[in-house]
Amino acid sequence: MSAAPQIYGADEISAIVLDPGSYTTKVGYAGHDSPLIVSPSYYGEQKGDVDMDGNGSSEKKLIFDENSLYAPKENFEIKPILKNNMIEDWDGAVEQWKFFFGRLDVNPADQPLLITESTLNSYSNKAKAMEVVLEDLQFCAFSLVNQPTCVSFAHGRPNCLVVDIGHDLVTCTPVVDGICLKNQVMGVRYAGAYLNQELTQVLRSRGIDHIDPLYKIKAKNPSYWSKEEFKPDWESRKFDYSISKSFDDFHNLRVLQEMKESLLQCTSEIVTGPDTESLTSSSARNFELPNGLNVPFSQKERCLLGNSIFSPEKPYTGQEEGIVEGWEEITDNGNIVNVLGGSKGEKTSKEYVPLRRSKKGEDEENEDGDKTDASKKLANKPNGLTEIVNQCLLNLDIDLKPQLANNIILSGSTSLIPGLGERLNQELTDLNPGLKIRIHSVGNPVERKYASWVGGSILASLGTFHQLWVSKKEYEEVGAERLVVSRFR
Amino acid sequence: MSSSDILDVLNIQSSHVQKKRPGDAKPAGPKKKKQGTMNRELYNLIGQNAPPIAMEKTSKFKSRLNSSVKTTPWSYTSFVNEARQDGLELHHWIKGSSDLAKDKEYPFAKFNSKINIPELTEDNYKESLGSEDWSFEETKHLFELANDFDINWFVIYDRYDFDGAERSLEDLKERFYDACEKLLTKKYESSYTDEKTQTLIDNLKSFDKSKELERKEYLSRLLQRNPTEIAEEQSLVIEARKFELSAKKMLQERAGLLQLLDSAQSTGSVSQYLTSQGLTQLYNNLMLADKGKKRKVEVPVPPQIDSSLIRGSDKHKKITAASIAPESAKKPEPLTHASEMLAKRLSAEEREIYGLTIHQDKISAGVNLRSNKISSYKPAVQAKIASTLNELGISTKPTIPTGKVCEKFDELLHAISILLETKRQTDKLETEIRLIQSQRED
Repeated sequence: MSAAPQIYGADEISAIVLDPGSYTTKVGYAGHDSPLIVSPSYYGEQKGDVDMDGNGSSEKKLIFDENSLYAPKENFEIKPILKNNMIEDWDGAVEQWKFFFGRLDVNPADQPLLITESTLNSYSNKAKAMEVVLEDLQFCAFSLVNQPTCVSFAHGRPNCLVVDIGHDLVTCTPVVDGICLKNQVMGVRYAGAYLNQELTQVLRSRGIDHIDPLYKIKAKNPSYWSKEEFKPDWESRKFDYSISKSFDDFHNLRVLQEMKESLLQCTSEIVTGPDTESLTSSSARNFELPNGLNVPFSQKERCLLGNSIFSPEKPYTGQEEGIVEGWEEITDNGNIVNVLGGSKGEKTSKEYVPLRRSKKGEDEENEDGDKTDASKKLANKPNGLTEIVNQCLLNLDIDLKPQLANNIILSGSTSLIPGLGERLNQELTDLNPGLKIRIHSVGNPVERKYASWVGGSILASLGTFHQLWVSKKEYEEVGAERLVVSRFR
Repeated sequence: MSSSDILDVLNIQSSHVQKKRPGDAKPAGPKKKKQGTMNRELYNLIGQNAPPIAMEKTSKFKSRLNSSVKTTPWSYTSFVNEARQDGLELHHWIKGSSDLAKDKEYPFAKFNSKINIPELTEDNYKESLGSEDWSFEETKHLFELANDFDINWFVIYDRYDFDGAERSLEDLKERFYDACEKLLTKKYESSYTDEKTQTLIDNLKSFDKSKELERKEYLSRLLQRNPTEIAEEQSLVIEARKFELSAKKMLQERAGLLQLLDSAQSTGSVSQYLTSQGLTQLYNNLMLADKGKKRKVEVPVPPQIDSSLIRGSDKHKKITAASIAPESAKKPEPLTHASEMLAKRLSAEEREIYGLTIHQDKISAGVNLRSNKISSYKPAVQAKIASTLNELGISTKPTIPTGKVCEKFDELLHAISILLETKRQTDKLETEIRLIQSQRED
């Protein structure tokens, strides 16, 4: 360490940091070490009473409080705010944020707001965010920061390869001097939600067609699954109104989350050994569903499920050669920038041609020779975690490669599966013998889950960051479209 | 344990209580006295009765902070960051009153540094930068990116998006450096260029795209090696290092050998040793050095012993000693009276018959055995000499150590040691020759 005096770089201006993740949204004050509010990225919509004609009154009641979200209500729908790491439902998002800011007692007039965004975020989405924050929410200043940049700040590594394994997406982003290389992002949709679907199908193969959510249970007795026709011993609560499917799904999400946390495992070796017969053996682990039914999962199954993050072409759904429903058509080859841009018919930052550039070019061809070669190599088969990280490394400039290979950062809740980091390290080392692969992951699950929020919190409290806020005045003078291009490119 | 416990144990309590009862009616004074005597007895019985924990009266609450220093007030104030153009007012807490920071510059504004990139305009583009490959707009785009991202090439390359143009990182670099160089040269064409700008221009000129590509090619090839190649390379590196080490060792040994073969040469001036006083001093010095090494006290080093046989560290001194010894022998010391008489009265043969010798060097006082004076060698050498003597059928110590025998024995030992040393060196050289020959054949 040099003897030069260290400058204390922080200057708290009580900024608010908001990190909308695909599963949970995190909100808190900049400078804190963990978010004050962690809430599902979903909101509940309760329509007014249905009158005699069967027409629901137009009044809708939106519910954001996490506890109320889990309480069954009549005419109650749960809606997601984000899809594929991007905000889809802006009305819901704005209302939800207002609710959070009310809880935190935020004064928008003198507290700026920092929002983290996915690197895939489109220009129009960015402009929308700016508009919402500065106009609807009346914040004095606003900033958008890429999530991988935040993760790199949270880890104190300006040059790194951020591997984020979240609920909707697995992304791999090179970060250089804290700036994301957006066109070299690789990603697939074989993430947490994919594992959820696999788990659901495994349960179905056991004869459990659906999970009975917790709110339905009136009384239960523990029972142990032994064969498909097995009936669990529980009593259902009676409701005199129907409960929507989205509400059930939302409840089940929590059960599946717990299943993932307690069951999944990754192994480096190809899983062999006893099959489902050994469900009663000592290595099998039971998971108790809300209705008291204990479902056994053998060691092999648990490994197969965890490993499907690495090999989505061989999913495990309870039977061999299974297909994961909802993912049949998706053959993500890692080229997420094109996939999410094209299939959605939505302009990503790559394809969006800002106003001042009049010519609309053939963006698809705007890739250098290396990269097209590389993407050809990615055949139309689903690519697992190792492939996309490796592909991302391959696409990198040779001068960057050794450094980034040495600074691979794992973040996101799904990366907490035991053995995942070890396997990734092992496979990458085997694929790149000349590179020194080093994977950094925080042991503390809170920091792993909220890495991007923590990074945003660090950024927004830096004295040097305060010149980067987009103020309301700038917004009024320059306009959202142009500001987005010049500042959040 | 309290006194009442002991009272219990000794059953005193009951008697005390019994005594007490009738005493109820008695006045308070004597009762107190009685109690007092009772307690003293007990006190004597149990000895010291200090409480196990020192009881201290404490107040119930934490004592108030007794600070004479007044607390520093912090105030929530607004500030304007000079690095911003829009005059956005943000708020933060500062130490002291808000007036203090009023006219101060925002401390973090100074970090707002920009890289100085030459300005590109349509005019100067037409003047010097015209290129078929690069349009003005594209060059402008490149310059804008360079400005926005502080010439971070990886980011510029990533964000570069101009009309579907396919440019490699090196293309961009080449164009940018070339354009900057031309713009700077143009700018400083007429005026004086300072040294810094000149070196900058030179540096810009020196960018060579093909070399850069070549370098990257090499690098990528280096990274693409497979595990066996890497292992092979590593083993080669280790081998090479081994060779280096052995070559170094060999050189050292050869130098040692050359020194051995060379005749000893005096390195310093000998004039100070020419007098007997000087010699004595030298001898004492050498003896001291020897004692320091815990060696047996020896006779002074005889002049004929080769310097190489003397141990290393004080070689230099000894070489000087050895080389000056013959000189001092030329000028014999003035003989003592007795020896003068002996030399006059007795002929050499007679002296021999009587066993008289005239010592020209100093001998330590007292009686000592002649066999002690036989020179000794390093333990390893000594062992080898012993085995050689064994081979020759000679005992390790002379049986009848007369003066002559001892002298001859000493010579013999010396000869053997030289022989052994020479043999060792020959062996080494031979193996070396063989090695080189085998290498040549390969």
